[in-house]
Amino acid sequence: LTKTKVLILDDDPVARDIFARVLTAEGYDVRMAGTAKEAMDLADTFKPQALVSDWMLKEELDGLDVARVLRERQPELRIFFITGLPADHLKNQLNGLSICRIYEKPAQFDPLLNDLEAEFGQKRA
Amino acid sequence: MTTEPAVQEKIPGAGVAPSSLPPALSEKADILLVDDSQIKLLTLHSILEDLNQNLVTAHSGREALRKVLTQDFAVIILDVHMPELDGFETAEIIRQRPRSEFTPIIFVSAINQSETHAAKGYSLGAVDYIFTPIVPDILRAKVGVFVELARKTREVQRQAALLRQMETREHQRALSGTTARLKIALEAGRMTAWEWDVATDHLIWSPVQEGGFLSAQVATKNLGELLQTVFPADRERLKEAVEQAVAQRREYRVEYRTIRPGGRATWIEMRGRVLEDEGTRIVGVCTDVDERKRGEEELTRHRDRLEEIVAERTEQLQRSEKLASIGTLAAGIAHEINNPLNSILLTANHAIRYGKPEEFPAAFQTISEEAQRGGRIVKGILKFAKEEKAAKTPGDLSEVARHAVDLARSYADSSRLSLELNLSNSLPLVPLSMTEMEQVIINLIKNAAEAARDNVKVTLSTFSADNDVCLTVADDGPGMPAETTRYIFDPFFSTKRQTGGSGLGLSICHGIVLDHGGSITVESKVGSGTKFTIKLPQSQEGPSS
Repeated sequence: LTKTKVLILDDDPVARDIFARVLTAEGYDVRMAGTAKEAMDLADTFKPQALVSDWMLKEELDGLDVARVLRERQPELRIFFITGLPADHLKNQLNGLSICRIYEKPAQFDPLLNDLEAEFGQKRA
Repeated sequence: MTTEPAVQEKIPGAGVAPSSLPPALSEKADILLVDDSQIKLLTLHSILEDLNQNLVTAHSGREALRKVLTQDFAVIILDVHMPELDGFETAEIIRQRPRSEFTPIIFVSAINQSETHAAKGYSLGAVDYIFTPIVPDILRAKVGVFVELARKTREVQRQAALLRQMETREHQRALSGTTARLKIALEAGRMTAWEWDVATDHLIWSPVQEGGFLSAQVATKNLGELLQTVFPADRERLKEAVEQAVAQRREYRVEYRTIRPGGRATWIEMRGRVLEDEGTRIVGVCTDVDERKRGEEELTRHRDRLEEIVAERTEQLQRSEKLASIGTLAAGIAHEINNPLNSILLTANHAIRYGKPEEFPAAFQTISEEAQRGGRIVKGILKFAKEEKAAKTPGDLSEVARHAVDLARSYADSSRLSLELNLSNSLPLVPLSMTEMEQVIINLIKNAAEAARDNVKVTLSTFSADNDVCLTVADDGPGMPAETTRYIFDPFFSTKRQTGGSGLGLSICHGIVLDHGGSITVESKVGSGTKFTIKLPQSQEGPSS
């Protein structure tokens, strides 16, 4: 059984680390990136099926920019956003990019785990 | 024979004295027959009767002269040989009188046809000479010619008189038409024309409607009386305008209020021009401009009201902009606080669900740190919202910069940051808060360090320019696009581009510099670094004190 590949992009090391640990514990194949460039480099070889990304990053490119680039390379990519701003703010910026869900901070694991399961049918460990 | 005065009444043009008109064509000509012999007079009379003219007889030169005095004759038939005044003498006197100067005279001589006689007669201006025995046909023919001549002359005169009469009438009609039109025009224009003689102080007005806007004014006979009808507050202005116009010989225009009979004030516009023909006069018009003035007043009221509305709307807009910026601020605050909350919640939940006891201290440590991070953010926000201003004392911006650099070195990752100082040692002191300005400089250094991916060199320079003391913080980092520099000082603007952690760094810097009465600007270009420039005024003026 192949594990579903999830790329986590967050510039907050604490949140990034926890999500990675949880998803790994739940049986996903997880890679972490702290910057947009890292995420895009990693995606080239990792070929994630899902992107879980913070929207705002401390640099020029944000999670939304990364999501667009990766979606172009992989049209099947499932996209999940986490943001400290109201979800509507991000929705207004999507410009037709189809995504699965936006989670508002402070976030819980369960909604993400449930959505991933719904998308990929992976049982929790 | 009598004249027929009734004929004169047929002359058209009643209203002009009829006597001034010569008799009409149908009237008979007067012919004067002069002879001392009654028989010869009768003979002449009977010969000329057929001409059907008005024959007047005189028996002597004197009688002839009397007739000529009172009557115009078409022709005079004058016997040369008369006692007392003979024909020539009589003719001479007749010729001397302007009225009869050109009256044709036919001399009748019974004596001879000598050249002398004829020559004397002609030299007197006589037109003809006739000898006895009289040939009736010849006399009739000659007289007839003169009668006809007189008739034609009379007709020409009559026509000329008629023409003059008609011209006069036409002229009067035109004149009265012009006057009437002028009157109508003045009324329609709500005007009166006036004339003021400067020397005699005599004031005359064109008539105005009874009880109309100017009826009180036009009753005045001099400037003093006129001023009495003017609103007291406007009197001096009117007087001055008139006096200046006279002194400077120029046109003038003045507006004043006059008091109408009803007591209501009416705005009048007076325009005048100085004329210097027969003495110095001012001629002009007064116009009722009440409607216009009241319209203007109304307009001013409207404009004031509009300005009020605009001010109100602007305030509303500013309020709503403030609300919008409060919305932005709230979202920014939420974003910043949500980050540590997110970490805390995730760490705690992870520990609860997946954590092994030996991992708990690390989890608690994370939670503690994130909570402190949240606390710092809240402090930053409170600082931003703080109203009170720090006390300012004269300070050296170079010294502040050196302090700030020392502090920044402990914050910044010294392996990636190199600081270069180019500080002036002779800066004028400026009023400043040391702590606040340090904070600003540290923020700018941190900003440069965090924006740079790799090593970055930050150069601080101070110098004085004009009335300002300046500090620049320049880095050789990645730079920013114009759209970013435009909003960089807005609180929580695009937190992704803010690297100060709370997103408040640059907006706080901005606020502090403004509070010092100074300015902070940024110049940046993608790929060629960023330079912040702070200017503090040497003498502090403006909104803060």
